[in-house]
Amino acid sequence: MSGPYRLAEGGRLDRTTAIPFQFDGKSYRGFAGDTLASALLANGVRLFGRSFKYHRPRGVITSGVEEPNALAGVGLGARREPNTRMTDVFLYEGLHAVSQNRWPSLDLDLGAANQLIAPFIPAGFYYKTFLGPPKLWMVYEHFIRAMAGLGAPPTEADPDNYARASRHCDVAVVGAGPAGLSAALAAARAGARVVLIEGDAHLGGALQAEACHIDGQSGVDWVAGVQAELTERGVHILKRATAFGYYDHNMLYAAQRLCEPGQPPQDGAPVQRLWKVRAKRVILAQGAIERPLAFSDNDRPGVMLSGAVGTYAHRYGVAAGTEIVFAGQTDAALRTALGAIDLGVKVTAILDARSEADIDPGLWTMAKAKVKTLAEAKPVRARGGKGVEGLEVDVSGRLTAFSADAIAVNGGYTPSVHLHMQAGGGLDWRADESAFAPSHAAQDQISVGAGAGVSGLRSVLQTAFDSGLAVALALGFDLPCGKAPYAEDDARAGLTGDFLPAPSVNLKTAFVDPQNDVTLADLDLAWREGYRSVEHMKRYTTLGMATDQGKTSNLIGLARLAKNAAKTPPEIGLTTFRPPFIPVTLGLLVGDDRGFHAAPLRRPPLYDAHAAANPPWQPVGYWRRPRAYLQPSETLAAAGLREARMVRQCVGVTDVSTLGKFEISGPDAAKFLEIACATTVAKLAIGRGRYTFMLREDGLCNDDGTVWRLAEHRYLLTSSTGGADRMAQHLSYIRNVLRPDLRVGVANVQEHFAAIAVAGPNAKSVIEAACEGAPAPRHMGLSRAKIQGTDALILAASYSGERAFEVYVRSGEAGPVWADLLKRATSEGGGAYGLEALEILRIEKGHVETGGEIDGRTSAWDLGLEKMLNPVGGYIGAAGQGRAAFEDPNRLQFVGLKSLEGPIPEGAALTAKAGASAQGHVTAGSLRTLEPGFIGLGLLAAGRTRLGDTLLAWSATRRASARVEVVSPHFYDGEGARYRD
Amino acid sequence: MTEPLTISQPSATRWVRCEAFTDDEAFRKAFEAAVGIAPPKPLTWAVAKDGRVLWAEVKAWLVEADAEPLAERLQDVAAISDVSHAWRAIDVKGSNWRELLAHETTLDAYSPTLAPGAVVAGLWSHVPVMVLVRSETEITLYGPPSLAHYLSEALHHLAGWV
Repeated sequence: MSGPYRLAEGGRLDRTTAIPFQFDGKSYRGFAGDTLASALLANGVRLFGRSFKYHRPRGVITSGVEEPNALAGVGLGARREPNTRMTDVFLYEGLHAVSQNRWPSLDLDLGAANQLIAPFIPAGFYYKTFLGPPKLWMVYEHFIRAMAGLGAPPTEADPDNYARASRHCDVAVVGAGPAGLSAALAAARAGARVVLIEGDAHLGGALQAEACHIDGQSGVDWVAGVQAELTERGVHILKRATAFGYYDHNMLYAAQRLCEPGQPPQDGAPVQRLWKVRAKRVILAQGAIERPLAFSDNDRPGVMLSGAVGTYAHRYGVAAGTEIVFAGQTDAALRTALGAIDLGVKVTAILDARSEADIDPGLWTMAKAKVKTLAEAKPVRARGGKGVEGLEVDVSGRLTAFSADAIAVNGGYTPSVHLHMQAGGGLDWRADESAFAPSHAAQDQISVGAGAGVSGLRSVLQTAFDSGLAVALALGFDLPCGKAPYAEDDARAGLTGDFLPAPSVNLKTAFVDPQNDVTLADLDLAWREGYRSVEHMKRYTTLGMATDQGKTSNLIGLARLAKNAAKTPPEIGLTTFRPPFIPVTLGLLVGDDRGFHAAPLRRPPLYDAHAAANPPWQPVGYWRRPRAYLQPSETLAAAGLREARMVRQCVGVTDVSTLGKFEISGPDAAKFLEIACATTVAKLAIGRGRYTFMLREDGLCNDDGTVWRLAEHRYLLTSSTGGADRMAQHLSYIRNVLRPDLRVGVANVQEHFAAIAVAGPNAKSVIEAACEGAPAPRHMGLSRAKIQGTDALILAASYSGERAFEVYVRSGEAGPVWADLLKRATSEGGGAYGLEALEILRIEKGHVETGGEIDGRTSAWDLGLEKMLNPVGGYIGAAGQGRAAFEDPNRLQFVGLKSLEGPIPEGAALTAKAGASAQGHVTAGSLRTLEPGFIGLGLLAAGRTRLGDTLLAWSATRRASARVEVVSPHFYDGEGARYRD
Repeated sequence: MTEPLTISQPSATRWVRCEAFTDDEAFRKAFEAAVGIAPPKPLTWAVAKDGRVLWAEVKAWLVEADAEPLAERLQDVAAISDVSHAWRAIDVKGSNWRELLAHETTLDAYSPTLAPGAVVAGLWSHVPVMVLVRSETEITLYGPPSLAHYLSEALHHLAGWV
């Protein structure tokens, strides 16, 4: 793999391992350690893509995640990842990459015709076009959709696995360049638990891109030594992991690549891992991002950031060109150029926009000795088409030209403050560096190194070490740390030139955001059209809105706006920094929450018994409950009605194990319950129970259930399934916060007990037979018995309106009990029934339901339960009921609805006529079980005073309606004779 | 090379929830007399004559014992409830259990305090669990029976990636 672009030696590559790969159907070879970008450069490839709007030819600009141009679809079939930065994928055998946004080929792209109409499609043109007849929009939309977007996603399902992992630590360090390593070293030596997060495959950061010495050894050797020491000290090092989000309470999210994009994993292993790192302190050491310069045709392939040219030379042994002109405005760029020359890269000229007085004299002298140098020199125009051929330069007002096949530009450095800002931090403007740097932090974090605006290797190492030590000491870790790593070299970035382009630059081809084709002319257009806010400028021009999120362009755009507004950048302000810092795949975010793991299946104790009948399931949170037990060719609606009739006429057995259940015991159990429940409890005799309901502190209904006195100081409280977790929290709150003085215990026995309801005229005979002749308890009484040798608690309560019993057994022993009760019921002409029938029965009976009529807005009065309120008060919600709003006669009140036509649509509005204002709504509706007709329940303004009114139950979404009469909600056995002995 | 984790479900046992009316000297004396050991301190567990005793929450412990005899002895100082069927146990054995735990949990799986004798509660892959550390290479997870099947499947699935 020799050639003019691969340097004969050097680079952190394994030159003994050649790796074949493909780009746009052509085969190439690189070395192990190459990125796709470096390998293509080494092979002389200059054209990497086409720009989004104008389809201008584009080359690679950077060597890192900030790359805006070199995007490819990497991988085959279902594994193809579009918009992959070629600078951020390491070669592997079989890598297959395809360029984007061009047809039919990268070299001959018909989309380039857009350049002919460029004057008509500047930034924001779509706000002024496509304003024709609305019908034509469907025509426009077809073409706009075809042209919009970048890259082609795969159409097959993702075959890969994605993992997650969590880490807690004392100190999380983001970035493993010299600053991050130094800080991690200090914290780890002091005794703190440290997690170190680095996006590259190797530690070292900028130390991989330049020659340096630390503690008497080369930078590369120093990094290796530090890595070994950190590992020895138990530091958890995450490589190939980019921290992309900084959330509340010092939570960092990092995306780790376990395989390169498109690379098949071994044996189904995960391809990426989402790390959730919770740290007591965070040290941000993400470095700084180099800025380009704005000049005409600065987007030609071959124009690159100077630091990238240095990185390709040092790390990858690649020369960006054979005639490179450096055009910068910092001392750091000057050092990069000199370093490249030392490696054998052919640099023909070094240009600096600053005057000689602002340039480090030692560096300038060195540069003059090696190559042609010019101060006060600003680039004007890059010559060339699909590749750079030269550079026109303004030297103190005179135009001159250079021949070149690559232009290395440097407009300064922008500290990478993204995570700092996501965490709510603030920024200071550093005029000398023309950049923002972190000031105050809102969370427990600190920035170090170039990311904090610190330059000079010695200073970076020392200040970062000091910060790491300070953080560790603040956490109480004070083991001896030794001295900070030392570098002789402490050369600073130097004074940075301004953002102003040379006077003769054509602003229309001076690109600021190359990915979205945003030029200086576009920014000026936005200003002229009245977009003054940086947020408006961003959205109008789309500056910084592409996959690179403006990492190299935002500050240049901000500076242009500041110039137009005659203000300074800090006076203009910044747009909001939001996660993710880099693009992350949906697969990473979903992780393992797919299929079986998407949501846990919460199995009632009798799940297997129900599953054997293959019923349609009703999700109730994570629970699954049978809706009905269908007979052959039976619809769900028919099955529900059949089962409801079966309960009314014979007997049915249903699983109610998911109900909330709590055992309240101790001398103050009754007192406790009369705080939790709005009804009386203390007067219950042993062996008796009653219906009860619970209020919120604002006086509105929270849940309902039953309470049973099992013994002198022992009660069982039940609640709804949906309210069970809420009730558990509520009871815990009363127990531990409101009344910790009470001598009581509250045990959540929801899962300890299974519960089976047996309901119907024959229910008593079924229970007594199952209990081997022991008499069944009378209504709202309880008894204890054995069923199939299992201890059972039998509670006589009815939800259906029929004689009914709830059988409570320990959940692990419920199977034989269910089987026995079902068998007995079946022998009497009954069977199992599900939620459909349960709902029909309760509608007919007029029982309120949590989630239906108890919807968080209804009071005891609204639901007709006011007579059950404990007259003594003292329960939670008693005080809240005194509010004036509770006396409003127009409150929504619980009513029954009798259809005068067909079915009553659930959720329908109750109105005077279609389209009129809603006076209430339908909460439930069904057929009657034993008589013809449709009924429903609802909440209606002043409902209890409107019995006999006729309304329209109207549903715009279901496109259904029915005229209804407002009636009492108790359609069936209003006196309760059916369930009393 | 780390040996693979083994995941198994031990046979069910009887569990009693003991909630002190007041965590005072009288309760502690009575508890020790009935159970055989002092109530374990927060976030710890211990072995008594009949089995394990876990600190569950403020003023509450889970005791491996029969409910009725314990209730008789502690009725003046504590509320006793049988919760034998409210929990399902899953044993995880292997030196890499922390890594498995760290996959999907809110807990600090690598905390030095998560050592033998510790018991903590948190979430693992959507499931509320108690984690009991028995030794450097053994833990027991206690979760609701309704989620035991899911928890076991998830543990087996992720153990392959650890």
